[in-house]
Amino acid sequence: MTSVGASEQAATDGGGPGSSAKTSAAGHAPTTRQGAPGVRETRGTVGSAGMWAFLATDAMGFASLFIAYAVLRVRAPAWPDPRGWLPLPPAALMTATLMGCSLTVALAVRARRDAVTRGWLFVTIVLGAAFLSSVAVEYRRLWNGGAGVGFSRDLVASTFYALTGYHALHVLAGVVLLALIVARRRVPPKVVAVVALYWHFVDIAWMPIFTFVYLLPAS
Amino acid sequence: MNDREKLEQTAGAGAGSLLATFLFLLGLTGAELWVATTPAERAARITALAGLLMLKAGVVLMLFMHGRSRLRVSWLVFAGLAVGVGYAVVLMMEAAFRARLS
Repeated sequence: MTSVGASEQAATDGGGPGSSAKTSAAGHAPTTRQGAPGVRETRGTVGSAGMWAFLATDAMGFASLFIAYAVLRVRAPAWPDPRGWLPLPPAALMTATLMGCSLTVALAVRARRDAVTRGWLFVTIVLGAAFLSSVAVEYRRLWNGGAGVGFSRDLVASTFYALTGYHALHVLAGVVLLALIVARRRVPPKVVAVVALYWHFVDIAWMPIFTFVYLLPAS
Repeated sequence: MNDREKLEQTAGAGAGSLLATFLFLLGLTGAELWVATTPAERAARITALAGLLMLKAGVVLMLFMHGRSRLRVSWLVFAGLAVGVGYAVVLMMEAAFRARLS
């Protein structure tokens, strides 16, 4: 095993012969990663390749929903202007929140200490939960509002709930995944990097929803 | 260059760069809001929004996901989206053409 491989293995295991010596010498568990601190290189790992393959298939899932939305919108005799029933400030805030998740999870990946990684992951969880809360508030406003926009009211409502609901499920899965990671005794750096890829994809997937559902002007 | 330096070189952007990228994305989102609310021609607004969308997605893919170092798998994800987007564009154009005929 090369020195790089040994250091990566030590980083993954959260310790190694060197770290054990550090522990016994210092009397406490080491907080920095051995070999390459702050580096969570995932290129070439099975986990990273598997996540990219999963994201490619998930991208097809989102693409199919966007195709359906595009076809239905173009072929519909009339389509309401989104600004008439979807306020922009909350949607913009949701967009900023998701981009914040990308930032914090990226900071978690490059963190040098386990505690800092956990901190950034916790912030990501909070931001993800805030996004989900915003979605819930928006759904409640639409259901209980004067217009009473339910799922089966019309094509506009169905496509809106299908797209945003599908995306919200992805955010929920990401939040649960991060919570499981943070709850572990050790936070494996490569796992964090792989999960970060998922969160960046969720951020990217929201962008066309924000553009085509909330911003695209009606004809 | 030793192994640690090589690893650190491929680790990606520093915290400052990540924050700058985030602020740039916020700016692009602001630009999208401005384009959507400006009283310009509809086709121009749609084109601008599509361009801003692709720019934002590209920034996240290349800078946050380190797509530059994984071009092959990046294109795998892009292919999934590009096929869908291309198909949607063709269908939209076809539907618009048929709407004009009728």
